[in-house]
Amino acid sequence: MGFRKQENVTRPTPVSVVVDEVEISAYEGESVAAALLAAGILDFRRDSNGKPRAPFCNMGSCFECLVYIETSDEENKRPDKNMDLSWVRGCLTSIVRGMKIYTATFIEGSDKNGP
Amino acid sequence: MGLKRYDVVIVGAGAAGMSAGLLLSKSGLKVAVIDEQNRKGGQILRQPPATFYVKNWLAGRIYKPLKDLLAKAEADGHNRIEWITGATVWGLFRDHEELAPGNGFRLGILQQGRARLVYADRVLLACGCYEAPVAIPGWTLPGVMGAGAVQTLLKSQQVLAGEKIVLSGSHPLQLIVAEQLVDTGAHVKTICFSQSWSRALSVFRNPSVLLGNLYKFMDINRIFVKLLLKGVKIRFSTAVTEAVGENRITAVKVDDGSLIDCDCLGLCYGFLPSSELARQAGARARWLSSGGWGIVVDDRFRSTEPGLFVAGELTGIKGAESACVEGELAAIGILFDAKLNEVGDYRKYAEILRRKHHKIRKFTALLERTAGVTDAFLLNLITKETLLCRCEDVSRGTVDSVLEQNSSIRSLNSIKLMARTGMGRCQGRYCEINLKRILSLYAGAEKDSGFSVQTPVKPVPVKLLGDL
Repeated sequence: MGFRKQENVTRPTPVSVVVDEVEISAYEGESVAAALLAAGILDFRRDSNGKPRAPFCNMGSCFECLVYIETSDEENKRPDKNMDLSWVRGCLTSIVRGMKIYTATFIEGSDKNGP
Repeated sequence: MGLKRYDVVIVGAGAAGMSAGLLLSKSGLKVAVIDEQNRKGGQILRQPPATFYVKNWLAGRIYKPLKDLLAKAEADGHNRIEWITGATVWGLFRDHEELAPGNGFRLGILQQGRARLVYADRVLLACGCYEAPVAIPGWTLPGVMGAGAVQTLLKSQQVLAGEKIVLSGSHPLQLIVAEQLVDTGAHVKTICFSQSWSRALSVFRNPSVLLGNLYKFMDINRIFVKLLLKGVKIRFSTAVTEAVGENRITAVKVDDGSLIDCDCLGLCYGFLPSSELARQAGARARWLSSGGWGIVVDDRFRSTEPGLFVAGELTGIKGAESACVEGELAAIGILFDAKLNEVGDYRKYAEILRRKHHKIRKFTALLERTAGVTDAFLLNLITKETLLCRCEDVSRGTVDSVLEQNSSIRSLNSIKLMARTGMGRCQGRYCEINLKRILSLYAGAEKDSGFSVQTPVKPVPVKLLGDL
């Protein structure tokens, strides 16, 4: 669970993004990992024992914060999928207004196709 | 193929990379600096997002010279250096087409969902380090992180990783992280140092190093007193031996058997060089006494691969101050190699840098003696059930039984084939050192050369490589 520090920080106007089909508020430029932690999301993926995992290194090395984002890139659209998902490291990816983010936990527990 | 060409590509925009880039850019060379983060500064100066304004960001005295360096790098804009940020370098290859073999490199880059190659006559790897993974039962629970991760969440994202935080390890960074947390009103409950009080104090028994680095020691003392006054418990000869919780951490168990309730644990046992790219490219490495693979360099910071230079933590963990010095020395080495330094413009400056480097090394050697932990201590933390490989969920018990049942398996690569340790997305970064420790309990493992490093050194979606 993360908490946004308020003192001495000026953030831009909040934007909404969609995480696992639920709208949350975040800030452009903030990392996806930080936004999810601040929203109380501590279940980025499940290990083979069904146990949740969350960011560990916050610097792009551990790959625990991997999330899927929906890309609107026409080039990458495949005919067999109704949307295209790319995996990214949440700690290295910045929030953009309207971004659609899926945790691996959600993807694996739903009928959505992963990449 | 229209590859973008550079005289020098530097990988890493931290202390070493920025220092080297700025020096090289003065010579008129075409230089690019590539970094995985979205902004320059490296881990020590992980900047807030450009959309944020943070008042008094990293106001501590230790950051002052580095922030001056960052300001110079930021002031460059893209004038003399091309800064390629948010980009992962996943491979470093000898170029065989453009030039005779042995000259020049191609670097594979992944940036914003696109893979591409760039060409460089010379490469300087200044990739820095990552936190030494110390496996304890429950270390995969959400809320357990490296202390550096807790710190970068705060200094960059302005996010507190928890409400009730415990730090455990052997590195003095714990004190700095704790101060930054406490300053923002976070509740740091306990800091556990695995070493004894008298060993921690032994730094004061070396007057010459003490006097040479007085402000650092004074800073540590000031933080120590401040934390105690704020009610943070600082314990010595103590370690967190287990993270407890069902779906997230709710408490830690300390080695005296007591429980401390918390929602965040930061582990802080030092750092390992991020030397994968250098090793993938064939540079010779040695296992460091502090752990991890350090790259072998000569006094001009040349690796054993012609044209491949290495600076900063990759040569051995010595901190940001040393990285600045090594970055500049490597840049001077590159100028010399490119025959742009024949008149010895930098001879005097290099001498000053070498003396400074020598002084810093004495300090870091002392720090290593004070903060180092033994393999036996760390092995003791790893129970049978503890996951060694976070990616493939392989426990110590599984690895032990592979080693016990197969007397021919005495290398990390063969353990990998049998037990899948190191086959996941982190590519062994978080299990190799602990596997090496376990292997050391068996005969014949002393000279193991670790996991073979393969391209891509970080995962790249196959569909993107198809574009190349």
